[in-house]
Amino acid sequence: MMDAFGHLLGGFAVALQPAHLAYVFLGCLLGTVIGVLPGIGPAAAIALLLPITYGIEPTAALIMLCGIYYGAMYGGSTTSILINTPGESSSVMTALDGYAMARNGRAGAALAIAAIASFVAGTLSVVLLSLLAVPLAGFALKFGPAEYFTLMLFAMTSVAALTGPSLSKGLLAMFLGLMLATVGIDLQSGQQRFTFDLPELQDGIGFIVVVVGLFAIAEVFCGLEDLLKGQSEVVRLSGRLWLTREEWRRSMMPILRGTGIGFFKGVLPGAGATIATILSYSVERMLSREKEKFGTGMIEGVAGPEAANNASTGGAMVPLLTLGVPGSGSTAVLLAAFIMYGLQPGPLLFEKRPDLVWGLIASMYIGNLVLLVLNLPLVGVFVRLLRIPIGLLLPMVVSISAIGIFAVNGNIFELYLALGFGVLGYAFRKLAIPVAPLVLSLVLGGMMEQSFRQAMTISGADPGVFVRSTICIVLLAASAVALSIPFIAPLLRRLAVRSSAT
Amino acid sequence: MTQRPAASRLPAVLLLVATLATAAAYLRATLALPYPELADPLGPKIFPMLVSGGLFLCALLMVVDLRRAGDGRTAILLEGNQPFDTRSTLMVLGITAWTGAYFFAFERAGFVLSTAIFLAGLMHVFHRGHVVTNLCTAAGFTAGAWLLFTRVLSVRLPQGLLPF
Repeated sequence: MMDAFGHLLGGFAVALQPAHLAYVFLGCLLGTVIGVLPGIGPAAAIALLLPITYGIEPTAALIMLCGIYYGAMYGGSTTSILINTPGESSSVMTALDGYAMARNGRAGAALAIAAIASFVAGTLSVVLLSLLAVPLAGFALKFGPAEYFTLMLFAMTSVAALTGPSLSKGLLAMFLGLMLATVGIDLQSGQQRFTFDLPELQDGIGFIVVVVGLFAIAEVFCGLEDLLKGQSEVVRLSGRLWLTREEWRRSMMPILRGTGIGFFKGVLPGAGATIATILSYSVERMLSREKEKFGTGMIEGVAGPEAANNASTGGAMVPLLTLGVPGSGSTAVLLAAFIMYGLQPGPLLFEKRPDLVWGLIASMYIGNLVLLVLNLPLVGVFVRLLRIPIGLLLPMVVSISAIGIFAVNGNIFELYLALGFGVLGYAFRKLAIPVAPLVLSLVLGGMMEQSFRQAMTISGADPGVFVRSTICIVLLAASAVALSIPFIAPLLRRLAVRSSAT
Repeated sequence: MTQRPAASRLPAVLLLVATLATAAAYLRATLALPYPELADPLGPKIFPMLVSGGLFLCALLMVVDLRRAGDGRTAILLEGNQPFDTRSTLMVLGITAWTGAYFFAFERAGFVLSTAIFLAGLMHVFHRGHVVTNLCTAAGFTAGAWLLFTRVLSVRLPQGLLPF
């Protein structure tokens, strides 16, 4: 505990430097602005804004990217409340009662409780992250190649099994990501694989290319398609932008419960923010004396899921920073940003660059405060962004995407690749195939293969190496449980329906 | 739950076929990889072979998913699917072609020229009837982005036909 406190103090010394404070502010502002734009979630926001960080030193750049991450997570709630269009799946539950509150003339209160819940949950989750970071990073030092392989397998299978309606589609996305990760020169043998003699593919398929294509360009296609079919109405901001005493009283416990649920779910790979918000909403509905009023503008239905949504960002940083393994699409993009700056998150980063890791964690405390200060008075300004015509906005997203991709290697071939991934992303959405497993396995694929081959080489090609340690057995069992959930959950639901009918 | 008409199953069947084709092509390409002399004992083929095996497994799961529709339930593979309508498909093809042309011109004509024309064209279609606004936005955004990225952030953008 004292260790963490000492490190955190050092982190604040880094985060409170004027330049870093400015980057926290800029990251939160840009993240909120991008998050407010319909359809563009945190992963796309980080990928699109990555070029802005080129030329900035790594600590400042990562502080800014993390600001973008939780700024975008928060920004999504504004579109949910005002136009009933969640920027991403984790804001869907906020829309249920948030939009209803806005229709009832309580848009201001809904936005205010979203900001307050985000602040409280975000801050508490960073406190938990600070406390867990040191012991978990110490534990992660025990990991060898076999443990890392099974950990990555667990992260991927959990995300594949829990992020879509069908296990086969989740697994398809996962294996496609792994397939893409094998393109390029094999690091252990120097052998070129699946490059079709194209020099542009020798270094593999750029992560930014895939993320920008799948998230940003695909969103342009979907957004313009929605435009053809008619747009959602923006509810005018009305009512007091503050809560009544009664609303305060009703919101406090949902915020605390949402924080606990969100943090715990955020730490687990795959479960992520979406399931945390659904769970939080269900818990609040279950505990309420006015269950039937949920969906008609209950403030508990906004406070709980919003807290869960933002607490999950702190939770998601735990495995990313301590183990170097992201558990969601957004943290996978953050991992790619770390790697781009020549940094590998994990236990060794805590030893080699404590200034960076703890500076980043300390910046999250400041970032949550910045978000609150920024969002309460400026919500009216952000709302105006929603009035920018989609027909003007989305074409600009394509140009920003082009700049972002071209700026990395100055390679036109990568622009065509991104366009191809944009079309693929559009097809994925139409066919309800989740994108997160593909992104996650693309980022982790290379490391996973290396761990697999190293473990097998050390053991003399004996696959038994993957069941020799307790950590491996626990992780393999957890992967099996994650893969069985899509089969077990419908059975349990049917049993519940039958028992309630009799 | 009701059984869906065969037409709505078509995208799912096409997805199954595409998965099988991808798995087969990937396995074939994997088997064609030469084995280098200086490789680790497992070599560069083993992991891709496992991945192609995983893709075949996905195809098998899809078949199981689709077969569920046979006993009157909705196939899981169809859950959440959105219909592909002709108008939307044509629109996506059109935007893809226009964006492809933009990327083709990105280096040849330069960032400023290609971006301004690309934006003006797309805005003309999707923000119809606001010619002046569209032209001003396209020109303003292009100039702003060029200034931000080249002058403030020192990102190199293609010059092309123009002197900047």
